Amino acid sequence: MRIRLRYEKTEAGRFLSHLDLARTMERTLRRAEVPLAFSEGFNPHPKMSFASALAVGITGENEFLDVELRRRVNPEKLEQAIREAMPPALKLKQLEEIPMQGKSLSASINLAVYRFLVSAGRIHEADVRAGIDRMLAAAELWRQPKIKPGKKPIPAKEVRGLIRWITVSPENGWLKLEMALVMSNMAQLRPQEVWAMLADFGGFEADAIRQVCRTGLYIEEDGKAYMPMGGDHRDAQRDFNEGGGH
Amino acid sequence: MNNWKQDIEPFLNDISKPQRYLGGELNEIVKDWTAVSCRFLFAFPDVYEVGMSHLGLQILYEAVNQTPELLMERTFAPWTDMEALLRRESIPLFGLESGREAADYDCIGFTLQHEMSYTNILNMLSLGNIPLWAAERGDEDILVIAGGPCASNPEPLAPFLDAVILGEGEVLLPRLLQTIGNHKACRGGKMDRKALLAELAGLGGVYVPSFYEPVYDAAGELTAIMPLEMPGMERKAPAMIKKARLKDLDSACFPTAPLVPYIEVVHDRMMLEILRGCTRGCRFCQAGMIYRPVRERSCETLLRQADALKKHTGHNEISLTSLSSSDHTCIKELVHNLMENFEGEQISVSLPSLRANHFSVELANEIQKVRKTGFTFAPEAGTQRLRDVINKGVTEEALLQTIEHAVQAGWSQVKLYFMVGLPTETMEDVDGIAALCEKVVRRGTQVMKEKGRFGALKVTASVSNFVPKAHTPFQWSGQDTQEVFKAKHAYLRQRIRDRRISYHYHDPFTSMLEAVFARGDRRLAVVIAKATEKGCRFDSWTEQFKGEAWKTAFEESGLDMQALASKTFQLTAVLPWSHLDYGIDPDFLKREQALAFKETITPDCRYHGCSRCGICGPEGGLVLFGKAEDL
Repeated sequence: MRIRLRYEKTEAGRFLSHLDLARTMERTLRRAEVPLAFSEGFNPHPKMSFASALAVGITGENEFLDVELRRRVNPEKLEQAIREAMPPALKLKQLEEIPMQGKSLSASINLAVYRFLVSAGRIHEADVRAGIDRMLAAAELWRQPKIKPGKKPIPAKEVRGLIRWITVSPENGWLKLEMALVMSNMAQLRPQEVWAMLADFGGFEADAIRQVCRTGLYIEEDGKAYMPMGGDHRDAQRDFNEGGGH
Repeated sequence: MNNWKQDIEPFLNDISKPQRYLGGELNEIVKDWTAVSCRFLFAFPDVYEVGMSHLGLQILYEAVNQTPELLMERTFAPWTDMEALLRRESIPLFGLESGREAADYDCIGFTLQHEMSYTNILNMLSLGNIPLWAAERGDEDILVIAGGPCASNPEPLAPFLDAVILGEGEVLLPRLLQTIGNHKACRGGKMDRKALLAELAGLGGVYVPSFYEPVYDAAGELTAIMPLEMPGMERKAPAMIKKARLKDLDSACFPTAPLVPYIEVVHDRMMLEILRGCTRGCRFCQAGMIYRPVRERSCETLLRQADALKKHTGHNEISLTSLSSSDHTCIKELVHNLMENFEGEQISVSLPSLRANHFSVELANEIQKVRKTGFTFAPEAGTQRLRDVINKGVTEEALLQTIEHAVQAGWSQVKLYFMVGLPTETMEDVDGIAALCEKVVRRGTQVMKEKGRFGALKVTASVSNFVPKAHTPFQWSGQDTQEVFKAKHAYLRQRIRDRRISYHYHDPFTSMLEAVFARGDRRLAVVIAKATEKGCRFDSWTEQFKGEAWKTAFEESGLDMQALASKTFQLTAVLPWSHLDYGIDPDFLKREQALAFKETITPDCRYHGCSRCGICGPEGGLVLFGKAEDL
């Protein structure tokens, strides 16, 4: 049996590395007495595959994981057991049985939506808007990674195609930014990098960004985006299409 | 009351491993501060990853928090980047559960695991805005206590501590905290510090350093530790303080729902304490003396606890901990049952401390059916003569046979622990370390050849420096000087030419500091204070160690560290820990010293009759659940 989990990496878990998260998840499944299937070999490990690693310091509202079990279990009972076994850093949102064969999550996910806050004190919403418009109007966007002393310089990359849309809106004295970024094997953008480029276009200084959250992971096909699983599937789509206006 | 975790929030992205400072782990206990009578902050003087690997923390967390009127929270030594941040932003040391600052608690307790953590203790007090010296603390200030193995000679720290717990904390700590709670409850939440300390001194097992006055003669030799009149009690503090003891380990509280860290810690696994104490009687070993008598947990209890641990943690490994796990009388049955219950779920079993015998290989073979990781043994000395001196009851032939069995069973790596500088050691004994390693390599490689396996047996020889410890038969013996240690290591380095043997050794300088503090008296407190002032922190972390600062601290205090470390005490001398009673008869230690010098062994009392160490009596004794057989 194969199951797919949709879960949240909460505020309490934002500083977990991907390795920490994987270990925490395995322990959670073991506490829930999930009959995990294990790989063969000298050092057997449970057959779990995450949709995408989440960077340290970022929360995730809709993250995904596929797990293979060595026997069938009632999915509803399973969902309850895992929900109860979750530590404060994680929250189970949904669980479904999926076909044994099927494309892996990491191969199908190709879009991520991020949200973060910046201080509205020194940065004006209008400047951010102008920055967004100018940046997205550019035919080419070149990202030059910082040169670290003693390391080989990484060549600049053209990244305009990795940004689908960006929005900004005021929120309790802060500015809330949301953006859809393409995930590809070739290149990925971090929200911090987009914010830094945006500041260049808007002519302001990029303040620290706060409460960075990956709100969802999507599969984008034929101009439409949907989550691999999820009740708020339509919300995600609407978000995507609204923002897509840019 | 402020939650300081919110104050560090904006800076967390800039410091290493922020999760160390946030708490919130699975099985964390967060209690209502207003619903308890005494709030205790357990302070581990090392980083989170080390502290969270310590079973003692988990046991005390359970023992204190299961008492409804008590609360225990945790704090760890902040790493250097975090310390800089705390000082820059004026954020005090805080507890991980509530985020309250250290000074808000009724009592802060440090665990003394090793001597090289002492500067961290002072640094943590300073970060907690707690007056460093006990004499400077008033009725409004928090009570500072300590416990753990180094509490068996806490004298170098005595001037910083209000009280010290001797012996087994899970028995005594809750009682001590309840006494604090009751004391305050009777006085409208206020403390009469002196009166409270007198109450604590009456608990048995609690040592209040300020109630004792060391007396020195003109030559600076300690001649007496005088008990003083206790305030409001009209009598003197007890002349001897007896350690607290747990009669029965089987029914004692054990944390089956321990805290499960999110980040990787040093020992990232379930820990099941299968027995406490060891009577093998190695004459250098402090743990083997101060944790007596031997008390086992029954197989039934252990299997039940293992099952509960599995359910509550989700770990994929369980470690059967004790000072000598293969000595448990039911170990075979236990390991067999655990393997049967856990194998299907890919939970591995590990036995950290095994004796060098055939039986250990059998056990290890059972738990490592597929992957053979390294085998570790501790012959401690290179020659039979010296092994007899230290009472390490293992013969060369037994060791070689064990290696043979291990290699036959599939192992190809062996780690051997040795010590240099043991009392009576000669260069012949030092040479014996190299010779023994060579024999092990030859025998092991020969077996591999016979079995048709490629390669050679790899041996890692890890050589540490003897540190004389309080409450052991070698407590009177001086340590080798730096020159002698260096010469011995240099000899071994050039002597071991075989590339199948890799040679590792410990820095003699830190070993000297350990010896100074392990047997030191109160005159060393000022040295620790000075070293801390000069920036010494995390002294057990090689890259943090500041040898020059330590040297200056000793010089400024007018103390000669080499002389203190290599000093040999007279058998009749008053030792700084003479008033601390760990249940071991001082005459037993003297007898053992004499036997050591006569190269005569004292066999384990479990198998060969009582050696009259003095531990068994009305307060309890040996508890075994199976038949005692010396395998």
